[in-house]
Amino acid sequence: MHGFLALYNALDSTTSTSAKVRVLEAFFRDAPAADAGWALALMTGRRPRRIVSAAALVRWVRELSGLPDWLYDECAIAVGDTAETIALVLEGTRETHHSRHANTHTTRSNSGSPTRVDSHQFDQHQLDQHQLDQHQLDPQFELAQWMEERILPLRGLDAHEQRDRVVSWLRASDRQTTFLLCKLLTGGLRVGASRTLAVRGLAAALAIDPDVAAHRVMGNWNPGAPFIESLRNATTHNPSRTGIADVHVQESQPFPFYLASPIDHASAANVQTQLGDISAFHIEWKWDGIRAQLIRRNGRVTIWSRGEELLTDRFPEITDAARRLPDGSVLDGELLAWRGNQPLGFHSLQRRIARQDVTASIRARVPCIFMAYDLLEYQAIDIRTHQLQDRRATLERLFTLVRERIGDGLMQRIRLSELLSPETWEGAALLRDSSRVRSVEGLMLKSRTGPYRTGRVKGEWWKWKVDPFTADLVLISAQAGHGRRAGLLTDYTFAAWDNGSLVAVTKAYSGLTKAEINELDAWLRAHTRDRFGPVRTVDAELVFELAFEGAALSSRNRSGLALRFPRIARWRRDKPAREADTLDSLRTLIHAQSKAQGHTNPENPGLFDDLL
Amino acid sequence: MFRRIAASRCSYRQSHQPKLYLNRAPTPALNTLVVDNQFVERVSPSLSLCDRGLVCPAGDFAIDPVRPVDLAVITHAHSDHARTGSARYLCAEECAPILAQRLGSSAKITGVPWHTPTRVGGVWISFHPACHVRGSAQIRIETPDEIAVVTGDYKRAPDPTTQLFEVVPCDTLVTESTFALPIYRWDPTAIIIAQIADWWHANAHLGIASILYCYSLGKTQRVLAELALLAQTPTYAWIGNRSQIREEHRPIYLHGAAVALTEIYRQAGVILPPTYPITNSKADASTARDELLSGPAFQRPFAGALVIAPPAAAGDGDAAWMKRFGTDAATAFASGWMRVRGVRRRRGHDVGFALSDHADWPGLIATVRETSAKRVLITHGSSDILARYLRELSIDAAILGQGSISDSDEEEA
Repeated sequence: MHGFLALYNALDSTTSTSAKVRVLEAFFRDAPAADAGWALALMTGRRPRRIVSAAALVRWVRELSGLPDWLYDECAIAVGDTAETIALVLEGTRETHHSRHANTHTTRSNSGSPTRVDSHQFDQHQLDQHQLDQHQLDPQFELAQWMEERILPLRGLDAHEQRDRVVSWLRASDRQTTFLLCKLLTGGLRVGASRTLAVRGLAAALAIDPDVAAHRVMGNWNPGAPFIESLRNATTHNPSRTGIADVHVQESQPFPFYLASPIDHASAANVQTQLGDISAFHIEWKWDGIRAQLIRRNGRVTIWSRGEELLTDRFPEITDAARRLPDGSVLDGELLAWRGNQPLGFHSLQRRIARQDVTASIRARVPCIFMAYDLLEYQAIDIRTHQLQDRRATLERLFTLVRERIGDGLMQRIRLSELLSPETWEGAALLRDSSRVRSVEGLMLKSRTGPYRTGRVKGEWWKWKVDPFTADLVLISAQAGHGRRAGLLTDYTFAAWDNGSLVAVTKAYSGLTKAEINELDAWLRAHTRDRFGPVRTVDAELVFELAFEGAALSSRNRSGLALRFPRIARWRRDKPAREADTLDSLRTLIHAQSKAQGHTNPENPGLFDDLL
Repeated sequence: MFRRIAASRCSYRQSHQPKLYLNRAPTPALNTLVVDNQFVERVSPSLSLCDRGLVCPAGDFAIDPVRPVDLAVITHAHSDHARTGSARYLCAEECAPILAQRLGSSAKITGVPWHTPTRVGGVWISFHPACHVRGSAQIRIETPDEIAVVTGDYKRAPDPTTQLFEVVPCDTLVTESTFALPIYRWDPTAIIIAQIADWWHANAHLGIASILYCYSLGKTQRVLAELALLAQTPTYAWIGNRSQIREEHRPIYLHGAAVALTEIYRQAGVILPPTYPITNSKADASTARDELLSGPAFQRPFAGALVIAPPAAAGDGDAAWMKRFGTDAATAFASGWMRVRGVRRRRGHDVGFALSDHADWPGLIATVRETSAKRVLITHGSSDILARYLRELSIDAAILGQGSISDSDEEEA
């Protein structure tokens, strides 16, 4: 895996973005197509489904290492990464040829000082031997071969055979190869390069626009050599930012999504300062569903989520309805659970996507729609560079056309996201305040004249989310984090009061500053009451304000509650634990939420409807 | 009350309430050091633990005391072992000039040659190389009851700035445990130094500076001395080149914090490559620059250079200091903690070199075995883990006090 290892090391040994892009560019230009294809697949999240479970791998490694289980576990806590733990632990079982501690000697009496001279010459032999030790296992065996000839064939073997093969590879690998191999086996490889960087490197290697490159790597493709070869052979005479959609794009391939940036300080006055006149913006609800693209090309319908998951079969009613769209159309929008005239909330949608097979009964219980708000391709022409107001007008025309041709009913499943028209930012703020009642997340503010960009580029689309819920909860236990937070206690559990005792409600990981994390880590270690494996229960003294997007009843949790997207808003140093919130106050919140949903009657104009 | 020993810091892997070695009832105050009738725990026939730290009642001295005492016996000059305020200090002869620099000229310091038994109170003590930093010693204490060895911090790998570690057979061994986990095992120094030089060379090729964070006392001089050795090989003859020609310009700069200490090493005869100081004072900095770069063509003095600085100078520690390098620098940290990728990434360094002045896991285990100690007391780091492991090997091992005076990855390691 020499080439891929070199790529990994080069990416891992710089924090500079431009240096990473240069490394990636060289790799995508020069590496064998099959390896480049696999590397690109891994970096864009197209890794094969997990082949060996991490638990099984750890079991084999424990046997191999000869360490007591508790000691292996301590190592895992300190390292915070399964593959890295394995690589470091196994290095001890492969004592290399250089002799350790050859330079010590024993003294009891008052002998003279030891001879220093010999032992302090630079040890060229050691260095040479070390280089020999590297890559003992088929150095010519590269990434693609590893994947295709060794790792993928593991699938379908019985556990014993899997174990024997994996153990034999681990025995023959050096530390770095072991690390990468374990990452490949457990499907957890993140190469220190975000997808965006990988695409930039690829674009540089192919000498094409990064947005075009981002488009070409969307959707379905196989990691083998042909895909990269097709990319390399595709010449640049069709840069295609306007005009016909890139000819190198397959029929099911989605466009890269444009992602909105958050508005920071959420008052109307601030928005005015930040964005200027409201008339320059299209304002819509920020729907609380799954961002998706609906593609209708060559007689086929494809639905992709923003995470590039193929959702076509999960939403058959929407797929059916989309067949009524004219060929060569790509809509951007949101998948929503929907009944009557309003969303059912994200929780319902989650139940729907959790299902492998979409039965009639779940379809009836959680009916879904596609809420369209943008048009990216029309009559097989990529229109992303056109102004939003023109794309929107075209989208509306498309809807009218379909309605005229085939009637309203068939298009119930595909809806047009309404444009709101408050005349001032204050008016918009009032609308935003009604978000919870409407089961939306706030407002989207989109520049009327902006193009449809690629990725999270600031400037055209803004999300002005409703303020989160908050609760003051007590920190009751903690464990070490992973990756960058290895060995630091950063995985916290919080509790609320219930009849005089504390009941765990949620975990949260994010929201504290680096300094706070360090301070808290020290406090937690000094106030540990007990340890259960990696988990430390601590003195229940500290109170934190947690922000979250909603709460639902849940049977998975002793508290009977599940918070959505909980994170730490601040450390309440001013508040003693006894003044933290109760489970009852959280339950009240859920009732208020469901009441709000139940009582909004779409037939009765609400308080804010006259603002629309 | 034993907490006070560790009160100033929080242990890296502290998980237990104080675990004392002996299950006996607390013995009353034994020793003249403890004037205010403080609680004293006897941890071996010759050693006790009290609010001053580890003391030897029969010899009436404390080892690396955390509070002022009459006689402080010092293992090495790092600030968590050598504190100001004691009336007299005893250390290895090799350590004395460094200790004097750290404690100030008023400190009364006596240096004792290696291996020379010295009568202190009712016991014999001698200093034996610990190879942690220059002058670092294990302290051997001989009483009629036992021989005890306090390792202080130590490493088993050779270090050109000091003596090799010596195994000193004993009855009671007090060992550090900073890196007591099997994941910590060090590559041979020659390889790590070559990697550092290769990294520097590659950066120089890109026309940027290489900032290597090293603790000011010990690691800095060890890296310099190793680079001097490496420069003897033809491939690395470029190390330390000072040239007006940009492609050959490879000087080594030192952060102000390490300059005086490095000079002490030089005066003691340790061979180091030439270094140039960078100080925070503008006048000094420009003088150094002018001295080095008289040629007007040279606008970026640090391009191609290796800059050695203490970790505290990194990023938020001393932004003003870092500013001079702009974006034209790659950063690396040389420390045993860099063995774990997540720790390195958390600190935001480009590269980590796992070069440590502490014993690794095999080194700790080997030391315990080779000293043939009947009882092992463990301090300073992952003491609970090492103690449990040794007990499973049927070695009588326990945590000393709370098990730690240190440490976190901020410590000198």
